Amino acid sequence: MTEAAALEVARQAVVDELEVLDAACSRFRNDSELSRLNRAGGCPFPAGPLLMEAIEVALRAARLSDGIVDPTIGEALILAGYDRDFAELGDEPRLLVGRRVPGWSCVSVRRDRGTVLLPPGVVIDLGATAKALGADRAARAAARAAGRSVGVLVNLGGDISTRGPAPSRGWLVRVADDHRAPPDAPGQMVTIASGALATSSTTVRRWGAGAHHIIDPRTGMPADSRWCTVSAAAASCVDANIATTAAIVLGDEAPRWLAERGLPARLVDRSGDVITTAGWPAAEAVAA
Amino acid sequence: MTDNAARFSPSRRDRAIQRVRRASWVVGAATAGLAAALSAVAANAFKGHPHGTPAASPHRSAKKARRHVRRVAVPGPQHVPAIAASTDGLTPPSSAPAPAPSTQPPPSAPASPAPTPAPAPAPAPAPAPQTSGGS
Repeated sequence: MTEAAALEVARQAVVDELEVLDAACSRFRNDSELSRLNRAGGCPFPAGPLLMEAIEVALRAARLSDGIVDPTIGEALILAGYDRDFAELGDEPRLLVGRRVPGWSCVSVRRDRGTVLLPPGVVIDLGATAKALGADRAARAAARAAGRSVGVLVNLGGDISTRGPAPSRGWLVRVADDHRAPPDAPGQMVTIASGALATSSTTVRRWGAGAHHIIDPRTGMPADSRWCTVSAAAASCVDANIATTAAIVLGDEAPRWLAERGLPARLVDRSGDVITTAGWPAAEAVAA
Repeated sequence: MTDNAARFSPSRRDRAIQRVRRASWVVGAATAGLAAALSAVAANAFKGHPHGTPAASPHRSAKKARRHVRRVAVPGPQHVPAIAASTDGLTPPSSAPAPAPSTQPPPSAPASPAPTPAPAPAPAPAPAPQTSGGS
């Protein structure tokens, strides 16, 4: 926040926003709207406005990424072992089996009727976009609560969204493999004046024998990518997160794909080498 | 006997045969003409296809053929918007991230004693850096 006095009211707005998002979009809550939708395969499901928005955002991500960021990877994630909250996952090795991803075009959204229809057996996972949507919505809610003259930055586990005026020297953001990384971990310090910044990485949220949470819809398996961490800036956190997730899955094609869309990004490969696109500042390793 | 001989004389018989032949020819010609006329009438009575399609009249000029083709209503291919041409693309930020200042500016410390100015209002503390990383 650019004004400490507004911090408490803004924080409450963020908490409220996240509570409703979790109730609508969590795959790990049995009572969430998304879980009930996944159980209602074959029957039109009356979705609330927030779940409807989250699904439309996910389908837009799939359309803009040519199906690389696909919400119908839920069953593939479960088969890969991500079948419960990440904190409950063990390290026991699990045989990875590819699962054909049904594809986002099988999801039918009827906004006029407020219903979503999934074919039987299709499981939606909104992990690639819902958290970023939450950051954007929370930043908007916090800015509304704090007042228009107040600048707001919301950081949801590494997904960063800003609203309103930035501090005079910009928002200081450190990009790293892990959003919980200590200050001396490899990374880069940048500033952003507006918009959002997101990072996707295969180095965290791993389990078993090398499985991770970013599924390649073409194989139904965790993406075997050249990149271990990708950070990108965009006008919204949703767009930044679409870019980073797609870049991980695209592999070698990612720098060209990002540059064609004018998205500043920083890509770190498995050996630690860094490539940047579209005006991202030159890599400067920070080892404090 | 004389009357019968006169009635069935060879000359009269020949004339009769000629009349029959002539009548047959006239009836045949009339039948053919009538059939042709009725065929033409029937062909024009019900217009199944437009006259002079390009395939049926290859001698038509290309211009006439194009004009004719334009009149034919052919449904176009199903419109599928290309993803690459979508105007609703990912939106870049208004400005790219900038390199962070490497060091914070040192607090100003006058090298020599100077008249102390009126204390300026303290600037708001800069927000702590945030970390964007995988989660």
